[in-house]
Amino acid sequence: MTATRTILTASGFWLCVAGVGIAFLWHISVGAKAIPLATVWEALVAPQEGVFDHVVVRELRMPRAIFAISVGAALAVAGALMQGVTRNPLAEPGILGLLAGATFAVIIGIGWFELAGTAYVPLFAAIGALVGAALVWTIAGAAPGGATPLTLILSGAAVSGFLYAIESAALLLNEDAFDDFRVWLSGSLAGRDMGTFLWALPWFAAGLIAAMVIARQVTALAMGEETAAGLGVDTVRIKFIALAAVIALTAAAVSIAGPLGFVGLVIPHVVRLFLGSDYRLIVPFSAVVGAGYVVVVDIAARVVLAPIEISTGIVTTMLGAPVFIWLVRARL
Amino acid sequence: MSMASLEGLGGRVALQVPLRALSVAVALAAAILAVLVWSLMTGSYDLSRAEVIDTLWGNPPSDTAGTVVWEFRFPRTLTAFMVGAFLALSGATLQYVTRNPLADPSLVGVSQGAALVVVTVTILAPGFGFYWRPLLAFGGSLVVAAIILTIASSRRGGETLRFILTGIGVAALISSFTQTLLTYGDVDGALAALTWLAGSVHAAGWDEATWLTVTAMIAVPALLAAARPLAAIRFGEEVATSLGIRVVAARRGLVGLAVGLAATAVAAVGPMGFVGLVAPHLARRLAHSGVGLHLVLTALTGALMVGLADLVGRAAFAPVQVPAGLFTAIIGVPVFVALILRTQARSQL
Amino acid sequence: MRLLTIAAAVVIAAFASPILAETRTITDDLGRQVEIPVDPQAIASLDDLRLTLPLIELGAPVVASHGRISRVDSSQYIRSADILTGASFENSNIAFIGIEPVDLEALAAAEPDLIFTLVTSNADADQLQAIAPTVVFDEDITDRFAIYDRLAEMTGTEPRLWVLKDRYAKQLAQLTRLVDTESISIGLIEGGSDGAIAIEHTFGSLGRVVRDAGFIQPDVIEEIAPGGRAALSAELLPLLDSDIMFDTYRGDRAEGPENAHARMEEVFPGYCEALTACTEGNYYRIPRDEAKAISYNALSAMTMMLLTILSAPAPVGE
Repeated sequence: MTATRTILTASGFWLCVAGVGIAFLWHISVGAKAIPLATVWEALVAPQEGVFDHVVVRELRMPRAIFAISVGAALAVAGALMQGVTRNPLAEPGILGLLAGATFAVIIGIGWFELAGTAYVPLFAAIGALVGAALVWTIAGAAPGGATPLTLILSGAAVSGFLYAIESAALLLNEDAFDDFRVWLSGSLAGRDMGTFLWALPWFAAGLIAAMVIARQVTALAMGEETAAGLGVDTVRIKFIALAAVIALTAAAVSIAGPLGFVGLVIPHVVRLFLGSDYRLIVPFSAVVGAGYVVVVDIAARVVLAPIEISTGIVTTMLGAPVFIWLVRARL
Repeated sequence: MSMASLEGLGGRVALQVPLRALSVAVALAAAILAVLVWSLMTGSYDLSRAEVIDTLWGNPPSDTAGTVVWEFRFPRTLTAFMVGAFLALSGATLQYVTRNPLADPSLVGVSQGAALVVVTVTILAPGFGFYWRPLLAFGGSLVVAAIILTIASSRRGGETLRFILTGIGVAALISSFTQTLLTYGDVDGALAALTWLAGSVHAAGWDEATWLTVTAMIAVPALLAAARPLAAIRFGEEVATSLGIRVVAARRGLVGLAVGLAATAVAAVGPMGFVGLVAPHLARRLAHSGVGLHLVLTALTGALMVGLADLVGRAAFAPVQVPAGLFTAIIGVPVFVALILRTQARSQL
Repeated sequence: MRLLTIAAAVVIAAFASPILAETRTITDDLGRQVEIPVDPQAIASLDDLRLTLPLIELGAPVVASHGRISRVDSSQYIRSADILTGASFENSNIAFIGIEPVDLEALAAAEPDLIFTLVTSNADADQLQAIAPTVVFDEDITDRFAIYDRLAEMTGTEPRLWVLKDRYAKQLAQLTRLVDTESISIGLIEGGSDGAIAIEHTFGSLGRVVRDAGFIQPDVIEEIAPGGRAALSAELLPLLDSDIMFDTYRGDRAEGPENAHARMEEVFPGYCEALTACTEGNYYRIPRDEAKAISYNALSAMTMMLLTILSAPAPVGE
């Protein structure tokens, strides 16, 4: 890599970070209540006790923007890793059943063990994501032809559908629960609490660091298993770390916001479009672009139909599914 | 697989009769009959065996007994059987056409299309949805299926792969609209919609049973007649073409038939998951056979699955009614996983 | 001999039926013409909260009802009716016919002569009609208290309704006599949920009393269409601030005021500081069943509660 290239990508990266910063400021300056930009700025740099507008900015809008940033980064990096390691352009936590598994486990955890707002939510989500992934790979692996991209996707759809059916059963037999869960189930950043976020934070950080550490080997893996082995990469070990990272990131995202579909699919593709196939670049760029994307989507979710607010997860699916269809048409 | 050969005309014509498959078919039919009888005898309304038999012969002990047996139990059980058979056949056809063992009617957007339309009407105009639900569901299914087929078939090559993946993408998009309504609609309407979405036979009457029968009389013979192209297509496009099959036309016709069957079933009872996925595998596991007989076995397996799920769902926790669709999912999928793991070594399709 | 008995039965039935089942024709909210008995003796309801509760209060002969299964102890109960009227499946002749969707056979087994249901129920009106005459209500067409009136009219319990209405009118008169309602503002919310505050144009019985007594209500509540509800963004919380405020918790789930508080705290950390009603100790948390039900017993209880809070020698707001 030439020096100019390095400087270009580095400046590109900081440009993206600045973009996220601007999106963040935009996010905290729009809302149901019109608050002048100056007041928003004041709330950021010199907050005063008891000023309502400052409380709105600091207690309502900022946490939500931070949740959006972390969820976006987590899902985008998880998607990038999955696409790289499985060499499947359509891989992402939602399509391959991890989101469904994590969501299911959290519902069961909250419904049966009354876990709301405790340290165990991310743990449950992680176990759920792991079980979801295991189910999907087992079914796909058992199908004739093995775990091809296609059977993986079909098996992911089946497992997600199955878990959704059980969730519906639980909600139908306990009608009150439906009203409690329906917003969270659709993937929402509204009214999430800071406690769960703090418990999810270590998972998020661990996943992100692991992803950065193995990025070089993932690049090799993405070129094919033999190539990677030839380059001296311990493929089994890297795959294992990648899986752990993906699960930690998915668990963190689901505990914070519920299932946000297609973020992990769309972002890595956009990033690859500009940066090629080096995962040492794809991983950090995915994190930043994913964070910016979910922040912007969350602004749209609040503003487009205001005063009605749509779940962020519904909007990511509405935007991501067409990209998926386009990818299918363009690549296959 | 056991085969008995009948040799005639000096050994020039050998007719092979798949004995095992035929006996499995007979056994399945017997089981369906048993479920029918059991279903007619079972329910929250107390009727002795003799009273049910009297009612069936036209001498109900009371008007209500007549209503319960003739208006509730009978059409409901028939509907469950037919819906099961339709979904199973639809799934089997799609698995053959796409040459993928994990294909299922939800791939062609049938469930999602029906769901979007019915949920919209149930939440936004409940009075209107009350009577028009089946028709709306049918319309919604067909429109979404048409969208998927249009997007998927606009270019050549790799058709089945693109078809399946397009189906998944469009289904996700349509479901996000449904989800919006379920999340932000009036909670009572949303709950009613969720009940329908779970796939329940509870509201089926003679209307549903009648038009399902009509559809069955048209579609099932058509499908069995198409067993030959189906058998050819599963060996790949080249083989089928060399056998003189017009692959594109045959494929379109078969997918159309699969869509029609699934849409009719969904219109009657709501989206009932996993029957179309699981029944063909279960049938193949029970007996290996040619395509035609496999379709028959699949239909019978599907009918038995849904019939049994409905019976258990309405009787096990009575008066709490568990939608049959939840049973087909919760029991069907683990069975499917076990099945696919055990047949791992064996090559199918 | 058997033939003779049947013949006799037919003859008796032919003569007896006009007397036994005197009917009249009504039009329900779906526009169906239904022939219903003038004096129904066995009524079935497919919605516990919005149909069974009024019927029980009216003293109509209910024989079967939809219900829910308690989250606390898995028992079957009739929402709100248990705490407002004392009636339960155990201590009455009302048969439990399931949660949504109800068990049609259990319904048939109760042998009703009149069935009430809502459009949001999943039961098919034609199938219900095969059991007994069925009247379908649509809350978009007939509002909740209007459904109450129509239930009384169709079940021949209007004298009871007049008594209930008289009682409410007298209680309301007492409230307006002792409290200067038009100078006091009341902010009524259902509670916090998913980052927003659930409010209604008229929130159940408490909303009805507040409206009927002529209290001032926040503009954001007055702007909702009658019968409608809204989710108010947490950022607009101060718009709800009033002389006194009411918030609710789920008594039927063994919740207490702390749950209502926790939900609001989740929606807006430190919400109390932003509301003068709260900082001055005029923020009340009450059980949702009693506040939300469409019930004359609830109206009575809510009127009394407002009177208790507001008729102190130096009323709030002065």
